[in-house]
Amino acid sequence: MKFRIYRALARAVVLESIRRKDLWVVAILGFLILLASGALGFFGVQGLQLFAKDLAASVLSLFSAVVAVLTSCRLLPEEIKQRTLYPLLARPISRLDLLIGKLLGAVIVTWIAFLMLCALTAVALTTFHVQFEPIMIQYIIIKMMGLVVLCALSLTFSAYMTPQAAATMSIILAFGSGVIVRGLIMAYNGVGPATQWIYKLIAAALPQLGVFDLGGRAANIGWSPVSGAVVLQLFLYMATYTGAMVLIAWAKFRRQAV
Amino acid sequence: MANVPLVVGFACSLALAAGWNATNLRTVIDPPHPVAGLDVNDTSASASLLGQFRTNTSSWLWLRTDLYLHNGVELRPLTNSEKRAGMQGVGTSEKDLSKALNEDSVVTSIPSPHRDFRGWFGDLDRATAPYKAMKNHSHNNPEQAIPLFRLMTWIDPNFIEGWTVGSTVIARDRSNNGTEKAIQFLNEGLKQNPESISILNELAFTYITRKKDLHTAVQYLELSRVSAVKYRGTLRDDEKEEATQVYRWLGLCYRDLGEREKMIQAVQEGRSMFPDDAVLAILADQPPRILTDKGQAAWEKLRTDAAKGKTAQTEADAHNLN
Amino acid sequence: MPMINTGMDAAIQVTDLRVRYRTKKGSWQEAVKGLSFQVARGEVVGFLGPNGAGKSSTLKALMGFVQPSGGEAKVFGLEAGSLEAKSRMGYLPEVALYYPYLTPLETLRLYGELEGLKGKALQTEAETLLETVGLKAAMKKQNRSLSKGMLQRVGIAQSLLGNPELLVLDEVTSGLDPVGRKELRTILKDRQSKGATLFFSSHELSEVDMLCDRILLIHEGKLVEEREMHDLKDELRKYVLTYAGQNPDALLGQGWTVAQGQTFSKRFTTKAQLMAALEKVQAAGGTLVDVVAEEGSLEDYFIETVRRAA
Repeated sequence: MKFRIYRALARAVVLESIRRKDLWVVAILGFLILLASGALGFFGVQGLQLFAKDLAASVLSLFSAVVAVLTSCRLLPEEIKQRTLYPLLARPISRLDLLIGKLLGAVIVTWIAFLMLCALTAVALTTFHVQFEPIMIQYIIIKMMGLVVLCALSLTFSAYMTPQAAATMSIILAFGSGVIVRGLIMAYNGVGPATQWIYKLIAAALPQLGVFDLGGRAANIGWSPVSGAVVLQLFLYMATYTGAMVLIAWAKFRRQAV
Repeated sequence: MANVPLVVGFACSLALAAGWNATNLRTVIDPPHPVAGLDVNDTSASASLLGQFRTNTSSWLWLRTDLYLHNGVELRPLTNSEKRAGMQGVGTSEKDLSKALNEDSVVTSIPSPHRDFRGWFGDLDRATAPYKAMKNHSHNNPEQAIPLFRLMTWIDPNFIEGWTVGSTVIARDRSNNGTEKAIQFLNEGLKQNPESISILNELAFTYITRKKDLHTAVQYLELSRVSAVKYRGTLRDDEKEEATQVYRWLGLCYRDLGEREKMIQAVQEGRSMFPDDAVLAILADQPPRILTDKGQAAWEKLRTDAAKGKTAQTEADAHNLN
Repeated sequence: MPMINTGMDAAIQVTDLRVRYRTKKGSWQEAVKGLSFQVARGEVVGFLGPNGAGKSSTLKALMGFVQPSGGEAKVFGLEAGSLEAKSRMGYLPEVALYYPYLTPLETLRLYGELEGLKGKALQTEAETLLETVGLKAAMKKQNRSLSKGMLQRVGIAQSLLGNPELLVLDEVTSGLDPVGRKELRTILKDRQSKGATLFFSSHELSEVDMLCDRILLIHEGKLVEEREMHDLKDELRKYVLTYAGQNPDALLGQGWTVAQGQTFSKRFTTKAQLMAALEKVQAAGGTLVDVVAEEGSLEDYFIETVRRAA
């Protein structure tokens, strides 16, 4: 029964997104990738495979994060603003169900966009004679897990702030949390025990989106796919963090006057 | 939402396209006489946003190239507090190779388990990122990066380090073919940066060390000397070092070519510009123990002739006095 | 004001309800201030009040969209806003906006699935409802291409999904043309005849007049009037008695006007007064010319009541 609710809500999000031509933007971005790769190909591809793979991973990471954030951030505020929330909430569904269904929709839209970009990037990479490697499939799967976390993060921010502020915060954390954690690591030994605990808390609370990006391993030479145990741990982390984010969003949304 | 990424994407692609085509704009927006070496980039960047984009792209490529050479393992410098705490860098933890590559003061950005306070998150980070413990640190063959040097100099033809370091990497192929390719690459760079001291020096150095062609080397060094004199008032520290090299090598080349007057003139000019340079001081005073036997012999002959001349002069003076 | 005891099970039971909102400046503003009323099963109750009186806030509290700051609201004895309560309700929001890129059919399918309907039964019900509200031709056009009135019809159709026992309708006739209003009345009366309870707010007093069993009138968050509709109609109705005969002043008292020659008229506010006057006229030998019942203006009543409350 619950799954039926989530599926219905998610389908509406996806249909809206497709018909609003959001994914056209992705197609345009993908076209730019092809164009850029064509330009590089014109320059000469011999020996650029490593760079092409690295660039592809970076571009995929950037574009998919933007799609995830922009799709997720506006779902809830837009429902409230356009008052489409009323007929939804008038149904026998809880607000938590609504959040989960919306998140699922955002995740599916993001996944579609990501897979479209992957397909276009794959075409671009073939012009560079990049060979297929199993780690590329693992890269895609694990990246999709990371996008779930990012969608949940953005949705949660949007429950507490304006869509613009939520998008800004999400983008900052999407691309900055790794930098912040690296900074904490560098500063850790120079601070007192109390501050070290604060550092630990900050590092644990920040979304570890970097661990879902195997781009570095996929692009460079000779790195093997990660083990099944690591994939399982990543899945658990994704589930836990996403669950926590949804609960935090629900804490605000469940009694919010609409 | 539909419009935002569209606009951003369009703007980026426009900037990208414009940046790549900005070479044509340079004659319009650059100062009439591009300054030597790295200043070219700075001047261009201040003059042109498109140039800035292009410069940033090639700088990014430069950083990525460094990363590729470490096979994706990200390194960072040790902080002062880490140095004080006695932490060792990559190079000191490995036997020979890393020391040669001068990585004593860097560590992996993702810390090793014993230095990482993050526990499970750190383990995940190490498992998913291209991470190797310091003791396993290694380097990829730099020749893999040659296309990247070509790419970064294509994107930003004024990226001097791209030309010079790129040629060094190309010249790792020690065959004639490798040398010719390195020279060809540098000449492409010279066409874009005709007054670059660094590129001219690198060309000269290649002719000296690989082709033993001191005549051609001197031609490039003389051009470099012109740049050094022309921009002597505006050279940065690193460029001053390059300019110093011009006079050192000119001195050595002229010495080995047996052109004493030119050697003295070059060394004296160098000393007037860089009076504290120890190498130039030595060159002015005694024969360096480098280069060829022929050079050594030529120097000895010069010294002997000078000594003879001095003795003759002394004898004549004494005679006159008497 | 005492509550009318309908003598039936309550579909809606509101007791001392209070709803407040935080203003942009951070202070609290009370929209509903201790409202109490009851709606019996099968009743059609109009919820009236001027703009800002607290009608929508009360309806939102009934749907669980806002949490009461005091008191309670129950639907079929269940906490308002609970899943069980909502599964027995249909709701039409004041401003009907639906996903612009979905079609009315997809919109109804979405809400139907959330209602627990599925498969062919859902498809059939959605199509039937859209046909009922006059959107057969537009059921596959995207909502963004529909007019305001058509969107209101989509809203009405979605509120009827799952055959709810209680319909809560906020500004039900908003955006509808006269034909649409008539069709809506037919639909709602049909639902009522099948046992549904209707609770709706409206500014269209004529609709209230034609549909309601009872009205609740609120002002500034408080209930100021609660009336059975037929009592109110009786109360508002005026009777004009016209007779021919002698000058009434001496016989029948003051207030008569000369209609024409020896014909006199007077307006009575109650039926009892009319009957008494009629007896007197007959006793005095007057000839009855005409008795006209004038329906009173609900609008005047509304304005007067609000004015009094203010």
